[in-house]
Formats: sequence, structure tokens, C-alpha cells
Amino acid sequence: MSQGAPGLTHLLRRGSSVYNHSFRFVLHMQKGESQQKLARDIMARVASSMEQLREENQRDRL
Amino acid sequence: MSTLDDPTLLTAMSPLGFFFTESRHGRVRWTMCANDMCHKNKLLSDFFLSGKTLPIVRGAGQQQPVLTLVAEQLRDHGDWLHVFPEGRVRQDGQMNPLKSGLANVLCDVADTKPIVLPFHHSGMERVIRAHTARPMINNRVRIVVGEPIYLDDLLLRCRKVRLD
Repeated sequence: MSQGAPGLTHLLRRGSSVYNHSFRFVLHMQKGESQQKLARDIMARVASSMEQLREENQRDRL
Repeated sequence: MSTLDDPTLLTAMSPLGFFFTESRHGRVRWTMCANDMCHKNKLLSDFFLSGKTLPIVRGAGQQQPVLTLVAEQLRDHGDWLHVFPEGRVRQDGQMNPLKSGLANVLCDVADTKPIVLPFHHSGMERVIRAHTARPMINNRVRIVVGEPIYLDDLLLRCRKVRLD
């Protein structure tokens, strides 16, 4: 028992470290995806505005 | 569109003295140009850098140092950035899909509430035709300037993402 405890502690610490890294990685991925989605939303709004201006420009030319 | 849209259109739309007094007010726009066009050699590079044109590498993604530099200029000095978000010249009157690098710059400076002012122009494709460097005169160029694009809600979400 006295020999097994350090091994168990080590195992728990290692498991905890792996969990923390995984958790941070998942958070990082979620953040990345969220920023990408935001970028798409922003550009969609810019594109919509640009398309309106393009149509207006074409109407003026005719 | 043509390869000379910037700076010719902006010069035409601005008061004549604005560009000549840059050293006093520092408010002339920043822009970016592909490094294989505007920064091919030292002479060209110095010329374009003195016109506040920074080198961007096509296909190198959105983590390029130049984008960080641009974001710093916008955030710290409230400067003006002019970009064609399509990224390439197209001369058939249609628009290419917009690249999202601009959105990431906007997200990076979301705290400063950047203003996005869109404009669309047509006719420059007849002034400078593809694969030629000789400008053609007697062509009408039409520019439509829009209202500032409302992005407050999205920029707020950017701020939240950055805080998380």
C-alpha cells in the first residue's frame, strides 16, 4: 500500500494534466471556430452592402 | 477594376492637398499590395512603402505579421486602412468572393469601434486594361460611396470572444 500510493498519485497527476491540456485545447478550438464564424458573418454583411452598391452603380450606368 | 484603382481613385476623391500634406497630418490611408508585384526589388519596395503600401504574401493565410502591424496602426493611431477585400483584380463587372482577412483585422480592433465605409466603382477596367500598363483617356469612371456598414453587434461578439 505504501509503495502503491506514490504510483497512484503520479497516475492521478498525469491524468489531471492530460485532462487540463485537453480541456484547454477544446476551449482553444471553440474560440477559433467562434472567431471564424464571426469573420464569416462580418464578411457576409460587407458583401451584402457591396452587392447593393454594385447594383446601384449598374442602375446609374444604364 | 484595375491595378491602379489605389491610389488613383482615392486621389481623385480626396482634396488635392490631402496627399501632399501627409507628413503633417499622417492620415493618408494604409494599404497592402502583393509582395510579388509591389515589393519585387528594393527600389519598388521603397517607393511603395513611402506610399504606405505594405507587402502581403498571397496564399500565406491570415497570421501574417503585416496584418498584425495594420491592426496596431488602426488600434493605436485610429488610422485609415484601404483594402479591396476580393484580393484580386477582376474586369468583367462581377465581384469575387470576399476574403475574411479583413474581418479578422476588424475583430482585432473591435475595442476601437472601427468604421467600415464601402464604395463600389466601375470603369477603371477601361482605363487600365488587363495586361497593359498604358492608361486610356476619355473613359468615364463611376464611384458609388455607401453608408458606413453597421457592425456594432458583431464587433461586440468579437470583444466577447477575445475576452473568453
